[in-house]
Amino acid sequence: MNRRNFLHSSLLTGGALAWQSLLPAWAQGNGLATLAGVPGLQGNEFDLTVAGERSLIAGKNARHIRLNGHFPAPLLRWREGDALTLRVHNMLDEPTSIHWHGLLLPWQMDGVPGVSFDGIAPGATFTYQFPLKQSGTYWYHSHSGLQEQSGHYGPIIIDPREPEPFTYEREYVIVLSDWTFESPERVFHKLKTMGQSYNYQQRTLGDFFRDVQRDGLDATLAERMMWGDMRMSRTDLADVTAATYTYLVNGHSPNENWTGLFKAGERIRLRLINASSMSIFNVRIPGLPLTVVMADGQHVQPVETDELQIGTAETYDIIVQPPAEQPYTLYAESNDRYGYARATLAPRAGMEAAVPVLRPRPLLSMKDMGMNHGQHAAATPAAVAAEDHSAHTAADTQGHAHPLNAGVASIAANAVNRLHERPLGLENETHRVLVYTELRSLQPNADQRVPGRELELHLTANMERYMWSFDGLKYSEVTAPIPLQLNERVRLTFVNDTMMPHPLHLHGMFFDLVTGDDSHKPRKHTLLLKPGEKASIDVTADALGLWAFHCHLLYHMQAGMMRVFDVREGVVS
Amino acid sequence: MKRMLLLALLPLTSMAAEIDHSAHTAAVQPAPVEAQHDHAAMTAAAATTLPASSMFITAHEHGGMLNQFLMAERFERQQQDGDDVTVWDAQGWLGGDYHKLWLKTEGSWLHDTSEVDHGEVQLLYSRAVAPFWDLQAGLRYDDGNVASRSYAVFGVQGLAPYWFEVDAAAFINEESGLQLRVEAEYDLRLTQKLFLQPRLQLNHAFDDDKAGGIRQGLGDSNLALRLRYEVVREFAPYVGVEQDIGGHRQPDELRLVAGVRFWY
Repeated sequence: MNRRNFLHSSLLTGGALAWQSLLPAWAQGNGLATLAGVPGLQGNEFDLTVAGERSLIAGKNARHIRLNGHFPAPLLRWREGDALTLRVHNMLDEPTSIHWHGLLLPWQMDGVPGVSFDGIAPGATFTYQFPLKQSGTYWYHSHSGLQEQSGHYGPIIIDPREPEPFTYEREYVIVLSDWTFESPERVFHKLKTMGQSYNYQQRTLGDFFRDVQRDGLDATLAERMMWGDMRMSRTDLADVTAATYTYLVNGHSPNENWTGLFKAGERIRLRLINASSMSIFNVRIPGLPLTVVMADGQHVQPVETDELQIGTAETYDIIVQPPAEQPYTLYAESNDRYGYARATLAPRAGMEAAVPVLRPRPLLSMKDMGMNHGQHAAATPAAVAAEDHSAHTAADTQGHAHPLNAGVASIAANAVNRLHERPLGLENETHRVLVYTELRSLQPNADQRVPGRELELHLTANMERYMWSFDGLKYSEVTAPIPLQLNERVRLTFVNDTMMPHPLHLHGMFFDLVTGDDSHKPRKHTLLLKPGEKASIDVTADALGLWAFHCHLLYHMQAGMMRVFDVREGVVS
Repeated sequence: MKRMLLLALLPLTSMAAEIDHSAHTAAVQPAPVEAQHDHAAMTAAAATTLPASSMFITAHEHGGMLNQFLMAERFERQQQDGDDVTVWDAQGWLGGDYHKLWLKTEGSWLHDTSEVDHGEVQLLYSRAVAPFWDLQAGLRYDDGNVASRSYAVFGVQGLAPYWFEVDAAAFINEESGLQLRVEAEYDLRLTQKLFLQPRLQLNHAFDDDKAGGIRQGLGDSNLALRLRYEVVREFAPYVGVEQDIGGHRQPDELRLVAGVRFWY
């Protein structure tokens, strides 16, 4: 039995009761769901108490954070158009905050300490007040330190005023997360000092000999020397892995098997939220096609697929329709294939379907390094379209230079648009896999202006020192926010110089992902940028104030991969 | 000599200043404060009063934090010239991404006489100058069965291409003149937890220092192979062999070593 299995089974035997008793109603399985929808806190006024608890989980003394006594936090069920008052009481012995992820609100209500407000001091209460200008599936979490890793996250559903363009008979919230018994500070310390500690899937001497047999000695040596020369690991897909993480669905470990009930033929709406700190999941339900109807809370033209990769902090609303009275496994595999979260959709409690085995972990490629070497010169039409040169004619694009320093270990010499490509590791699956260019906004984009200017930001890193930054500067080294002019249409182009995927999240404003589509670009709050990728988003800067922008991998943000945009009136030079 | 020591100490003081600066950068951002006032005016209609804080109060949480690290790379028993010896080789640091205060110590302890045969401590300022390299400067102090010595230290430490850990340094003082030391090691991954580590250590003295136990030429140099099992990443017992390739001991002596590597 390896360490992971031990954790999972000890979670089941030793701590199931203690763990389960913390679960809010929405997260409990087995028939508690009603046809009316997932139970949550409803109304216009809420009191949320944030408290740190030490309790035995799986026989271990674990510090975790509860909201109103619950882990994960309560579901907040709101109604579009309502004006909300939320009093957040901090019972922790450290400052806290709540960021409403994906919500359009006044910037002082955005909940980022040091940007939108001071944070909520221990013992203090902060009152959030904002009107709801949108509907859909969102979530909320702490933006203070590493509290999110300790359980400070929960789902939000905003029911629309107008009927939605699809129907369903039942709905469930599926909150994916990662739990560790180590303190988040310890995890960060290990990443900062011995960054490869959690990777137990590195290439060994045995792999070397296998590769020699397959590819020959020269080719194998050349390949090893190329990656060794750069001091990069092809297996570095996730910094924090199932070596310490237990992946959860609605607070349930794989063995606890969260179960949602259904009757055959029903359409079930699954509100999929990746509330993990550091994990990217490949999600599928063997036997059921997934119809994606919303991405990041925004309507998209329904697209059917068999598997999708959900980046940290992204949400997808999908509809499935189980045809038979049989159980189905919802399988969310970490992108490095070292662990999984699992849940079951079943006609009756206690039923289980087969659990897929973890597929072999993928390896990073030359392309992930941003070195294309022209072998993909025959780009697909989608790629060409995605280049979307229209903006460049009007845009004031200047040569991009950023400092090369000890924090920048690699530069993508030939970053390319990969929005039309399958996510990392799913290139060769025989079933359908969702790609970003398949997402098309249901409604035409509200703002179809050609961006007046383009800003380029490089994602930069040094894995050895665990330094993560934009343009070679950590947030701590930046002296001022990036100004945007109120109501300007601006294109942000990202170049991923690192060899990892990064979920980039913009606060306060949705962006249109430049997929090559003229008028129906998907509207998102988080973009999972592939390694070696160059991609653009168009933003209408219609929200005054200071807005955080960061990699939503918690420890990347903690290490400095963050910026602030300042949307202001007057001319921005 | 005194001047040299002063020279070595200079970077330490500048480091302290830099650390101090980075820790407080957050509090002294004038521009963002202005920005906030602008917003106060622009969003006067907002329901809540603006916090009186300056922006970026949490910058230290986003890249500016200090860290510390402690690792005993070698803590082992071996036989040297028929004596039972415990050898240690540990280092630790405190600092940010660019500036660190680095402590290194290594030496050997004789079991028969219960005394330190040779022990040294280095206190260094370490500055990240390239993605994989730190320049280091500071002081080294030696003590043991020979006359104690102090050195000025100038070195480079980092990760060479193909994943070789390298630590090279020059040691200078008036009594011993110039010495050079190069240490290099490589972790060959046999399994996810089992590592074979070849390690090379070379010491070269350019001058004699009889009182200090130093002879001109190659001294205290060896080649070793250690097989390490990482029970957990932080704790790894190992066994190995070590072969002198110069110095005062018999060059044909192959020593068995057994020890533990640990870090926190």
